[in-house]
Amino acid sequence: MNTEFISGNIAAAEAARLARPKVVMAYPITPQTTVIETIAKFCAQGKMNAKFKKMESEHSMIQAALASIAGGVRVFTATSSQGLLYGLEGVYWAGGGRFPLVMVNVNRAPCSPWALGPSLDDAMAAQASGCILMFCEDAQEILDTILCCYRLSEELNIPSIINYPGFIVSNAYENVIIPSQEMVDKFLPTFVPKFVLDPEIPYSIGNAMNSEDYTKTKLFLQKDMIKIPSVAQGISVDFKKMFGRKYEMEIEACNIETCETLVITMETVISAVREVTENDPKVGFVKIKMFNPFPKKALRSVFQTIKKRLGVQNFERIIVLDRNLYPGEGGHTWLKVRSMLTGDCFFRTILCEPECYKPFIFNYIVGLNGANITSEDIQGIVEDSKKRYGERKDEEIVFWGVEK
Amino acid sequence: MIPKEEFISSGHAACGGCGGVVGMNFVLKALGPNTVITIPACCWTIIAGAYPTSSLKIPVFHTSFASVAAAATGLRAAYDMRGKKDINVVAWAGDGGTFDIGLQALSGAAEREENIIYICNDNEAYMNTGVQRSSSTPFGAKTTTTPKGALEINWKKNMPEIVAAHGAAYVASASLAYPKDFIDKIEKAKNIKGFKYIQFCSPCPAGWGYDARYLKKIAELAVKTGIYPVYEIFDGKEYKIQRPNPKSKKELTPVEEYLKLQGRFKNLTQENIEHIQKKVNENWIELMYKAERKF
Repeated sequence: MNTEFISGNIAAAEAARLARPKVVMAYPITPQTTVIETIAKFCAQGKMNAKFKKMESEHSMIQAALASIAGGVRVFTATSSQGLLYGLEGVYWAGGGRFPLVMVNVNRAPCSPWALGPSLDDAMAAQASGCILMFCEDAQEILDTILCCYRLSEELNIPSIINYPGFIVSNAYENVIIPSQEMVDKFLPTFVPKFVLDPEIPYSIGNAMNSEDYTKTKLFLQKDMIKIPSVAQGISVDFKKMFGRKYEMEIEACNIETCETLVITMETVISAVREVTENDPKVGFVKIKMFNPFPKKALRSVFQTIKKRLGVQNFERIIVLDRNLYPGEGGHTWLKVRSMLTGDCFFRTILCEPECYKPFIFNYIVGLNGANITSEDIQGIVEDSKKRYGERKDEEIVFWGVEK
Repeated sequence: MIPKEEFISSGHAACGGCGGVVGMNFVLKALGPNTVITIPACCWTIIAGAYPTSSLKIPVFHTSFASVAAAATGLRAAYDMRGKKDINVVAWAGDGGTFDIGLQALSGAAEREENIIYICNDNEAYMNTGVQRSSSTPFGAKTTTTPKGALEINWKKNMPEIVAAHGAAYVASASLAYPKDFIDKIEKAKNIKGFKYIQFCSPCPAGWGYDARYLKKIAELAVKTGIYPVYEIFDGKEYKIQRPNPKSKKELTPVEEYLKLQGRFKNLTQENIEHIQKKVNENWIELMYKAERKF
């Protein structure tokens, strides 16, 4: 185990090296490119024993990756933004076909207009594909998440997409602990596929299905998706045992024992929140690491803890910060938190007692296309939410920084 | 000798008189059981059978419309890494999945010299979706998107030339009417390392408008008239033509004999037919010239 000063993308490539994939399917796109460049270098240097294929498009890249998995080997691949959208057919193919694909997606605002900064909207397009969606805050988390996702995906035959924001994380250098190959080999053993295309046992993959069988495949996927939290917990335990560091796959929570206001967000937006929570115990946060499937149970337990301590009446505000947008609806995280916590707003206003309104859930759209978001912004948002709470206004989506 | 072993079960989902089934039969007979095939959206998606059945006795990897050559790349890479270099990896697509939407992946695989066999079941339109024009549809042919006949468009895209221009190890066109030649070509492809592309003329009774029993006759006339010449290109430059009428003095049969048998050419005028004849003659001379070139 040694520490190296590397970028987020190089951390992803290091994780790929340690996972020993036999095939790497690649296609360049800013800001992901240095992931595949680093892997190409590892292969050329003999540090990785993998077939490195620079494909002709992301569409081909993802389908080729799936075919390699069907051929019985572990695969790594990476993309970003337009690339993920172009290859989205393959992403759905992966989810429906239950391929244990592990893919990096470096978040970048989708076009049009042309944009290079991070927004999470690219990943949100894959929400319903049947893939696990992970979001990372820093380079260490990228490395850890990729290793854990191989375990998770291969155990349940559900693909994973590991996301992190472009430039802010992909190209920023920081110290990363790189575990030894021996340790990783113990944590992540050789890939044993549950199904291989083999001429000696001539089964096929992907034949047409009638509606009943098709629905059954979705039912099985639904059931296995629900297993993810418990499987992920087991992986976290193994991770701690092997590497001596704590790594939880679903959420990270802070100041839950002291907070009055709870902020929920993902990836580097949480970095700005951290500065606030460090100085103000009345503000707490939950960082969503696994967006899909949404960590409902873990979140509920956080909410219960706060509710119990404050009393229903005094748990007033949850703030959800989204670096993404479902136009006309709001941020995706907000929509999920709101739907799990309060249900339909019709029932909230018509049928429930006033205390059932609590807490109010405010949505702020921040950091789109890499717009800067600082601790001052977070403080401003906390203040703004107090005002909005006074006015009982939590239906409105606030575009922070451009709308006053 | 045509191998006796069968790799297609009865009860498959093809139409009667389908050229695509005869073609698959020849391909698999030539390659044998140590073969894995990948199929994108095309007629064979359906013919291969619905879950839990399969009409093929070899494994099939179904993939998306545009990506059959990419999927073959992925399979090849996996088998090579597992030391199974002897497995034949076949990409099988229709002309839509080859000439149109799949061209990018085909070009990529050819350029990387992937060690795969690509078969194009060329039935000259989108037959699985109900006969829409593709860039393989010949001049004048009636489809549901060219109801008056494809008269104002270019000549059929010359895919063998396009693949050969990538420097592919082996490119060939083949005909169902000449099984020995067809199977020889597949066997050749099996033994050549690198990217192999074989496109065969695949008459389609539903889309071309002919009685199923004329399958062989139409396939034969396509070759004899020079409309669908059968030839090989080695390493992108060395041409070898299978002469259509080796015993006949007149080398090419008039195109009209081929056209008049098919409903899709019913709308052609005498002028159209003359245009086709002229163009076929020109193409034939060009092909002969290429075959006689010495390097």
